[in-house]
Amino acid sequence: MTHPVLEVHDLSVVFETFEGRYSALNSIDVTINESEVMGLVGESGCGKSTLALAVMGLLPRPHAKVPSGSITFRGKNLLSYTEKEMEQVRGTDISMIFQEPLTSLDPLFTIGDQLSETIQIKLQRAGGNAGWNSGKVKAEVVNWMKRVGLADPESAIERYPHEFSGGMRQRVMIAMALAAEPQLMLADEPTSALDVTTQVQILRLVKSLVSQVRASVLFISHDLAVVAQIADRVAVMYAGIIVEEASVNEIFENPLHPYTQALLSSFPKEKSIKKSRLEIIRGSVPNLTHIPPGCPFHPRCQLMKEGCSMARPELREISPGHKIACDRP
Amino acid sequence: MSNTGLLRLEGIVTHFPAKGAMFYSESGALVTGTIIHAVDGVDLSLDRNTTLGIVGESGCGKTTLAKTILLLIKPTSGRLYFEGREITNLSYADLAKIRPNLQMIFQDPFSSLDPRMRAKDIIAEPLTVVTNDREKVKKRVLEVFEQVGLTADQLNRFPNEFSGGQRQRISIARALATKPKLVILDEPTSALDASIQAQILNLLLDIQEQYKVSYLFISHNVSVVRHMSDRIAVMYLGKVVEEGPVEDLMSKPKHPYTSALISSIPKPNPKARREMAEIRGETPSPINPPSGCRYHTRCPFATKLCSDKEPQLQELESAHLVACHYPLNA
Repeated sequence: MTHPVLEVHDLSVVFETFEGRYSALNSIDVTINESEVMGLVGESGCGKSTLALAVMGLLPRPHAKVPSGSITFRGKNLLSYTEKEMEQVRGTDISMIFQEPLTSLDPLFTIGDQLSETIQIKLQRAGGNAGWNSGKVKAEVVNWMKRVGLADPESAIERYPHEFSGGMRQRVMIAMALAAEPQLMLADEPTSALDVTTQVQILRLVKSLVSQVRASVLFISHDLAVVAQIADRVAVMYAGIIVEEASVNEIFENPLHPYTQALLSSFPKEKSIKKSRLEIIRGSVPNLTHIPPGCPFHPRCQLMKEGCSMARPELREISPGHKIACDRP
Repeated sequence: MSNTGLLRLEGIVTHFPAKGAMFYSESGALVTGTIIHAVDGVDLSLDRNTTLGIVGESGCGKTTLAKTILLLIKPTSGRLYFEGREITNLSYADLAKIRPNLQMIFQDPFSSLDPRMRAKDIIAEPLTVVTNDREKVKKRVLEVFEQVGLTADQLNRFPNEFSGGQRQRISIARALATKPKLVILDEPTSALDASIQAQILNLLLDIQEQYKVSYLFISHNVSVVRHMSDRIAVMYLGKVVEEGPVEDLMSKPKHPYTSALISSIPKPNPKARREMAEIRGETPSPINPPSGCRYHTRCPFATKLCSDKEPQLQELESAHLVACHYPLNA
């Protein structure tokens, strides 16, 4: 039943810049199973987006280097793919939606044009006539516009991105990402630029479509509450490593890593007393050029002990399916 | 009005001309001279040493309202009172005397600090309006700098040498320097990381306790506003649709929009998934707001009355006001 779609093993990514060597990912392991929504949470700069870009083969070259690791998709290591081979996978077998739908849509093409691209590839692969005039493509485009809940799809496909609101554009992005029925969709903060009421609509849409298409999802967000609404499993990242991974219920009911615990308790709660002081995590997120030695969270950790600054704790399984990278018993 | 009133808004309207507005509407008609109804008749008041939270989605007029209160934008109509005195039409010189009492903290600490000024100069600038005494300024700068949790050795640094959270601390120090009576906080923690947000919220609470300052706390994040405020006003398309004490408004919202807004906040609890309610449709454009109640196009309870007649903001329970023909929990 738990058949892995994507296995990331020992992956490290560094960026060589004028300011120094940023180690964005530091030997991380993640597995995403079939039809599973994997939530990836963490603060800005923790490496969430770098992981998604690495999987998509979109790391900015030549600055980004991958000193170690493998990304196994359908039994093959994506890191060994040539750019041509990667093009066969990208957008069809693995697709991606981004935070800001306006910048990820081409302003010069109609929505229909942009959506038909993936659909044409899909139909070509199925061996059919995929010309626009065959009517098949258009029918499929209109069908997808309906599925993502756009009103009046026949006229909507003739319109340009600027004529749509943020929520509508994100619906178009979702249609583009799922139209080719990918095995894996990477969603990088897909609702962070949207209002809360629109966010609810988009989360519901992603959830229902993903289960219809039977795609697995890597859902990246800085917002723990959003992840709680959509994920089956959650991985928490801090300064380029995964510090905790468990089922969504475990993460929220029984968080074990001090960072996850601190993060969860730093939010104002429904029942917390008005104007009471919130629990804080002292200090700030480390600069990726100077990640603290040992456990990267140790300078901010309430439970820090002597050994924490010496060796980096391995991500180990504490109970079935619940892993943490912390040596505290 | 009570003597404790610090700020009072009467029928504040702020309209903007849509620049170069001439385009074809959806029905194909040529539209010219369009007006954006950013704030469209807002009555609010704020007492001393209290926090009024303003929530609403993007485009509802929260920020325009804040700028209007500071008279950075002149209201199209309506009156603005500060400490019982009307300030809507004050001259520039008279306004300058009041301004030290009114401060603002912005969302983005990267664009709201001058990159070419040192931290100490950024904080000293508003003080130079109040006093010419250099020693006094220097002393006060150091005082607030330490109060917001920064250290004296950082005074000579430039903004780019600080992290996002530290920059927001500088913004807070700048706002505090003149000992204001009202600070408007426009999404003060939205650009910050989760672990930093709590630090800044705590700092704001400490400052309020010490300075007895009033906050107008604007945010789209209802959870944060609930934690920080005494009263909350909910805005929708330029109007306040509901206003009341935090506990009442959050537990027994009376306006259908407030209710929907509260239930769309994702809860950090995977077992509460089914509780999220969905509002259908999208926020209409403030260029051509719907007739009657502005929410009627999306409201599940709307009747003909709602599209014909605009509901007025009325007190339903003590100090709990709502603008709805069919209020909930009534």
